[in-house]
Amino acid sequence: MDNNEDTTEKKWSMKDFNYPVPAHAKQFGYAVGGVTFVGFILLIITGIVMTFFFTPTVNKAHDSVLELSSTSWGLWLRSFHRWLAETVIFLIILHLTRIIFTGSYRGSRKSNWFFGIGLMIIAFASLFTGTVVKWDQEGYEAYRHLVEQVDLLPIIGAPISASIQGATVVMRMFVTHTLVLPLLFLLLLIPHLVLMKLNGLSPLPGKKVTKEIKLSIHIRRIFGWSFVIYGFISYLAMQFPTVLYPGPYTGVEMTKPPWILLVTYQFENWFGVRYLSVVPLLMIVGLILLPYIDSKKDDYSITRKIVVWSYIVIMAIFITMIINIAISPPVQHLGG
Amino acid sequence: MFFSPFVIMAQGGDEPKEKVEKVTEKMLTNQEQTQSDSLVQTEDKQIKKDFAEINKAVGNRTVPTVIKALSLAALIAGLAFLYLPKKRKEVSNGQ
Repeated sequence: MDNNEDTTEKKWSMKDFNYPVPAHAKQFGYAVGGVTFVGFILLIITGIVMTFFFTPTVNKAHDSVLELSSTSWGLWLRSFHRWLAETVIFLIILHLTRIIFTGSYRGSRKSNWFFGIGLMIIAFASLFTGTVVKWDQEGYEAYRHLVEQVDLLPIIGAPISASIQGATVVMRMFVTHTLVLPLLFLLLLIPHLVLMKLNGLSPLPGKKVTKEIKLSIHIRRIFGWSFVIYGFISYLAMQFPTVLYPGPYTGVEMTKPPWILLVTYQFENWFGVRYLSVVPLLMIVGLILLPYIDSKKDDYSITRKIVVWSYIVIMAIFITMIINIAISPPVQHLGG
Repeated sequence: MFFSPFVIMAQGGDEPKEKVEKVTEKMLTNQEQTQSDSLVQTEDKQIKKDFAEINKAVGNRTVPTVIKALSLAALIAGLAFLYLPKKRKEVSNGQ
């Protein structure tokens, strides 16, 4: 028996996973990422259950969703899934806002910021494909917009466009929504969480970390908030079930996209369907450049103030656009 | 329009720019469809009913959308209040 070997061997216990984290980990702003993660898990679970009742073909997709919605639990399940999807997007925006306000994309956290942007893009793509697969009027109009956008892409546009058209479109969207995007999400989520552990929780701006709490308290907060938020969402799903539009019909455009995508609709109204992707692309480029523009560790620098206030102004403009589109009638953009 | 939050439009937007048809697998694979007159008439009735339903549902979404957007604005304002540093604290006595 080698005694040296025995003493150097690390014995893991649960206490090793309950490491100390800064005390501000208890705050909602620092738990919102975790709450979003719980929402993602709930989306996976509700999504898996719904796949048992969904027929991903052009002729039967809408009917199968209608059939699921004809039972009270099925309607709740579908509504809960939709409300969850919107809530997760909502929480991602809050998580992003907190990170911008605290400048948590600077220094060693820069690489994790990029993984976060990737996760956000996948979340939006999931919301979009989820809208399409139910294959009602809203879904079909969303799909037609996608085809129009893909057609604009140079070189790769034509083959991608061909692959998403035809009788298999619902099946392909379904596979993208239920397999490709969740797998990509998990692929980016793992390094996102690992880097978060390696970098530690970002500090509060202008303050030094003095007090610490155990990680278990942070996790308990995440689950506490999750129970409150998703419990309320479950109630909303019962009280305000999600709509399944009739159709789909070609040649008309009568619906509007999910509320968070209404900013793109405003640009479509102003400049036409060709410019639909301008805002999302500009936003993504802006977010990618952010750690390079605001790289100083000073929380009170002029650059910091410009970045934060630019973000607030942009969000105010976006929210105004959303409200404006919400109260305006739908506009026909396609087929002109 | 922007200044009239109580105007909830339930109309279907502009006039359709192309022929209105139900989307089917046959249509997506470019196969011709032949329909009898009575079937066309029944479909017309169904289309009108469906359009009325869609317009109503789109109109019903106005208020929830405005509430969601305002909630987002309020929460962003709350986060700004909590996390934006106010003023740099003066360092005194070498501390």
